[in-house]
Amino acid sequence: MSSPGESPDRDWSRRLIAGDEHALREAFRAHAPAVLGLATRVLGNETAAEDVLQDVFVRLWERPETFDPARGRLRSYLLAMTHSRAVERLRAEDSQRRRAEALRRDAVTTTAIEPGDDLAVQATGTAVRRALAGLPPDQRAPIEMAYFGGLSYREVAVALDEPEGTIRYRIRAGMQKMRAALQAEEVWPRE
Amino acid sequence: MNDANDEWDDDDRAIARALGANADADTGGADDELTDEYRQLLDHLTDEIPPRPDLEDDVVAAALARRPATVRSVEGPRRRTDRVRVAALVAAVAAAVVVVGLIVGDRSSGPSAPTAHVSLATVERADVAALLRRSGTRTGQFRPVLPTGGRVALGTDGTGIVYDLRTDASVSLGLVSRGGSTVIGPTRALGGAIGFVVDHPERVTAVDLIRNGATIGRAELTSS
Repeated sequence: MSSPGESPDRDWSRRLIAGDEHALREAFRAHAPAVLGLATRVLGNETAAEDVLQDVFVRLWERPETFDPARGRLRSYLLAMTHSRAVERLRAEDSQRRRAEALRRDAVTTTAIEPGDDLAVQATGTAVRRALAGLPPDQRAPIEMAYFGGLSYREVAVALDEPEGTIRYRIRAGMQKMRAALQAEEVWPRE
Repeated sequence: MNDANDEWDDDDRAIARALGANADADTGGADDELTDEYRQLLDHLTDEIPPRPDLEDDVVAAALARRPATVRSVEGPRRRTDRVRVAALVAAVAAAVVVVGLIVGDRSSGPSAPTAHVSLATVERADVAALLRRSGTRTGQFRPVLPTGGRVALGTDGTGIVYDLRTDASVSLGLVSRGGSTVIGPTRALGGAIGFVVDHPERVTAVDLIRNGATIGRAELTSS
């Protein structure tokens, strides 16, 4: 049970370290959908994504002290681990080239949401995806290829036939625009 | 803007690290806080996918196989609980025929029942021995003696252990006092033992073993 004023992450961290099975179940229920969503997006295969999800939560249970609530949120910690494991798996399967091609095609054909679109922003997730979709394709594609395709900047540069420095600049510009768009919509803390 | 600039700044390093693009990127000195900010941005890029219903139990079982729990979930596995519920009618009919003379469980809590916080915990054999050695520990044996067997020990500090239980079926424990009883669980014994903690242990006079809603054994505790 959490103490008054204690954040869920701190409570989970303390109870996971203590070996409380229910804390693992609570953390699973809170974050498994996001973990499964990311793993499925990266791997494109729900069975493989479930394997990654299991790895992530078993690791959290085995080494709970590796999550430090003072350094970030549990959701971010789990998703960073999910991303890393999914990309490792993708690389092991040596399919990132095919994946990059598919992502490049998807990125080019994705319909951008116009700035004047009056879709209501209901949640941060919606706002982030809207901001990503609002980026110019030459900024959105390298971000998606690096994050969902697990490609290094160099690999993205080769796939898009652009200099590596250009790719780094476009990724940076795109990420900063997304951040700024969220700040403007007041769903992201201002500096 | 010069987009071929080779100099990496704090944002470049944090973004590359957040993207996981470490292979050929200079992310060594990336700022933790800035990296976390960009990670939070990326965290929301994908749609959530609800896991299939059995996945939680599969993952928890895999986790517990690597590191046993010291505090077990009072809910027990979801899938097995559901199966028990589905089989409840069949079990109730069978119990009426086979289990003659069972004590009917009183699941209600009276005003002076032990209502304080109770938690379940796994225990080792050494914990049982240590509890039995402690001054003031009260003990009991479940009767009628069913194939489930079982004994119980309750210390003066509220630490209790049901042990020598020969079933891994889902069971609950009823902590009986003069004012009523408090039911905890359902849970499953690990290594034949279920640990629990109860405030005001002096109020507990007996412990019931409950399965599918029926009390299948009662252990009267010795006097302190």
